[in-house]
Amino acid sequence: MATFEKLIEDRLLIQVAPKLPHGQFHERKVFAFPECVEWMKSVKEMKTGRFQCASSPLEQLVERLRQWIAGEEIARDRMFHDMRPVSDNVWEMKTVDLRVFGWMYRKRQFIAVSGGFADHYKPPTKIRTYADDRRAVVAARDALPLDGQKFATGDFNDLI
Amino acid sequence: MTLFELEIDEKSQAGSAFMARVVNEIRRAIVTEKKCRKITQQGIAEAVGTSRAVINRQVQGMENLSARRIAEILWAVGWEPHFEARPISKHLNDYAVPVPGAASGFVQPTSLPATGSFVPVIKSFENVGSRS
Repeated sequence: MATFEKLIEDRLLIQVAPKLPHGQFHERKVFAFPECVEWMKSVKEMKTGRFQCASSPLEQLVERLRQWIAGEEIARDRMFHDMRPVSDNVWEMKTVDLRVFGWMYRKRQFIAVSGGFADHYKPPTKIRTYADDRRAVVAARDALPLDGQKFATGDFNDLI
Repeated sequence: MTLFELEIDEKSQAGSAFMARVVNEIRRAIVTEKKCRKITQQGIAEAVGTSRAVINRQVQGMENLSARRIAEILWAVGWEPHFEARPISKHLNDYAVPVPGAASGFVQPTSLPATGSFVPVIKSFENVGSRS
């Protein structure tokens, strides 16, 4: 088992951040599994699945991360929400085209495990289920050799 | 500490951040009005003259919004946009090139639209008196 700082040092977890504009500061944090970081890199190649969407998936992801990290208001459900059953303590960050699954390690600290493309969860292009990703988050969290309480509990207003 | 910095060019960041703010403002206006009176996407769609599906996509950020449509949706909920452009602080603007001796100290390249170097801000203001 290891401390959170040791997991960062060993690159089992990687802090993720877009470059914040001048005058904005790190009010929340995002950490990601290395596989999720690779997925984030792959977002650059993705095209939006939405009709005439103004922003590319990469732009959506960077903007959502910027809003999160800069401490801006996060709209429940549309931007971020706890997945059901809430007893799993799995959270989903959303953009128009993207889904990022993970958990709240501490208040305002999100650990991202995996990501997906929104159209892959909906017919007629459905190839994944939310339940699969939710279970994958729980499995990854259980397997992470982290000392102490692995996740924070509480509702949206407590944690976000 | 290891940090993965997700990179995006300044033009893309300026455009996507602005559109996100516009959508947030429209949704804030709708949510605020919903607390006071019954308001539906269907009602907005009928007032604007389009379908509920289009309004839904536009207020979810799934479909591009024209400046005209922004004003129309806000009008339909009794609000109005407030827009102004302002120059980016000189030391933060990599695009506008400082030219010694120029009147303003800055000259924009002519190959891109002049608006490319401005930071637009938008806020929607309640205008309850204009609509019942």
